[in-house]
Amino acid sequence: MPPRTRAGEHRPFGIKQAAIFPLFTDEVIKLMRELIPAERADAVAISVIAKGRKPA
Amino acid sequence: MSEDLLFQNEIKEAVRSAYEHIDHGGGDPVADRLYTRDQLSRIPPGAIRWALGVGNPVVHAELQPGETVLDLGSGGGIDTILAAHEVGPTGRAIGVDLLPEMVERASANARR
Repeated sequence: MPPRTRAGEHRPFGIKQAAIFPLFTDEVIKLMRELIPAERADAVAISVIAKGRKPA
Repeated sequence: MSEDLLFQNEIKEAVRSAYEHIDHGGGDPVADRLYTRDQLSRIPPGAIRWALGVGNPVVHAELQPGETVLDLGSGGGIDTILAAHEVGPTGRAIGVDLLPEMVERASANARR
């Protein structure tokens, strides 16, 4: 039986990706660069798209 | 239950305020990163300009003609419009957003 829910996409977001979003001001990006360790800078968040279907 | 609702109004206001402060769109680089060229060719520039999401749900949804789609947090309408293309004239794509101005933008973009 196929799973009812599954993840369609995992997309990591680093500080560079966050910087292209208008929601993050220059001040917030600057703060992120100062506070987040370099080894974590490429994946500060992950966007996940999940799919689910009601059972028949 | 009461703890789950704690700060709900404050959170809603913070989200509203953050989006209200974006007066110029600026979603083009976001759209370039998340959507395919084929998808973007079918979207009005205004919807691309206001693409502020973090994913491309339509490409995963496997939408079929005649289905109904509800886009919660539809913003400038890019995903709603893409979904409308997939479900066709026998389907429906409904966008809902917290900000009335976003709803107006999405409606204008959908008419183009």
